[in-house]
Amino acid sequence: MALLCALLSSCAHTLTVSGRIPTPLIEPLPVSIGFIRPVDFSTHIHREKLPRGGGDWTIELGALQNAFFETLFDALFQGVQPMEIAGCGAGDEGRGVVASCPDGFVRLSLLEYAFLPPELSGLQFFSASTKYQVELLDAGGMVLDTWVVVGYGKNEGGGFQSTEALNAATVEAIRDAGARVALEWPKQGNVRTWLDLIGVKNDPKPIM
Amino acid sequence: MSIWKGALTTVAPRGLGVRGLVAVIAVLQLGGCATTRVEQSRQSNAVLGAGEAMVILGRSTYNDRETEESFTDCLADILRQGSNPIRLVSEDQFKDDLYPWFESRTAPTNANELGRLFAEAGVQAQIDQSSIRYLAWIEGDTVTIDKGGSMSCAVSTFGGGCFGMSFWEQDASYEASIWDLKNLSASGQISADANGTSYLAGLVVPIPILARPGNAACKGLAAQLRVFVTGIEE
Repeated sequence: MALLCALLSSCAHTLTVSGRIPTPLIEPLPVSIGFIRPVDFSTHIHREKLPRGGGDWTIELGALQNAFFETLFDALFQGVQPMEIAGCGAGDEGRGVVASCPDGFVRLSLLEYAFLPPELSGLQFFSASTKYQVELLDAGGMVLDTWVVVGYGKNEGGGFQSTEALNAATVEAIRDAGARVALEWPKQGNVRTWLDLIGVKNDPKPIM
Repeated sequence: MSIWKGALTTVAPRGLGVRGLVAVIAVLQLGGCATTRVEQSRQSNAVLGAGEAMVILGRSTYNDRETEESFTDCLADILRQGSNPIRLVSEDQFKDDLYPWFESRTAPTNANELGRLFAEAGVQAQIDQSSIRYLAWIEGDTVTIDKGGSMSCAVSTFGGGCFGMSFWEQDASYEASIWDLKNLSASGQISADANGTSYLAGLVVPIPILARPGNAACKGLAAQLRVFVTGIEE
């Protein structure tokens, strides 16, 4: 009976993604932004039932991705204000809008999270991907640029180490996306135009 | 420079019960046959100075293979010990300290890119603060190239057992590219190749005779890497 219980419970996997949150070693852009996230960004839970006996998976990645991008944006911009909506117009008091209007707004949302265990991929590792949308809005709330970035991670492991391996792959996928946001997003054409308009010198450097 | 190492061990189980168990444990402690070949090319004669450190990084590419974390851990464990221990900065610490510059898709792919990377704000200062002199990129993996034989196991109310013989041949191939972070240049390469065949013999109890070529390649590469960065022959 104990063995049966153990076998049944092994079909349901619950993972709260956790990992180290590095402080990026980058020069901040001399601008202030309002940082907007969907309300469920910090509580996002991915639920999926895998085919061929892969089990039911519940993956809580909201807390880590929220803390990760807060740290990233704090390093990427000189000033960051968490906000609920874009715009600095009258009547916005009480909705997260502060008295000093930032230079622009960045709206970050998770479009998709996906993972693949070794049993389904035929490879020897767990792989995970995160797809984020980064929207740039000017001080008036008009969308200037929409950029989608996909982060990818993988980690060898399986069997009894499946949750640890998936955790590591997911953290790597978030880090990968974050690295591309830090290094590539400021070089996007519309972003550079916006930076030029508000008087920021942003020399593009080739991506390594 | 080439170093050849080899070992051959055969063990026959004597019986069941306590003696059989002892034999199985003894077999697990021994290895099969693995042949290791280590080669090195060197572009500079610089060695680690007092207080200087090295970091070992595994290359991970987005195909179906990558350098196993267990292999870089094995290298680090060996290099931290011994008569000439090397101060190592852990891969996790290094990547965190220099985030986002050494992630899988942002890390420099050759030493010529170091100059541009070190021009980025804070990178040079962070390397100096950690006193990291060498960076060793480890690339390679262990693959099974052949396998065969058969074994069957059965269990009944009167007992059980396994009978038959199976084998698998593995090839471990790794290369370390060593970069000098002081001179911002490539210092050299060391490659280690090991090949070995493991057996699983079923004589009532399954008896493994493991070659572990990955472990042999790790030991060979670590020994040569230590000589490379310290300049001291063991």
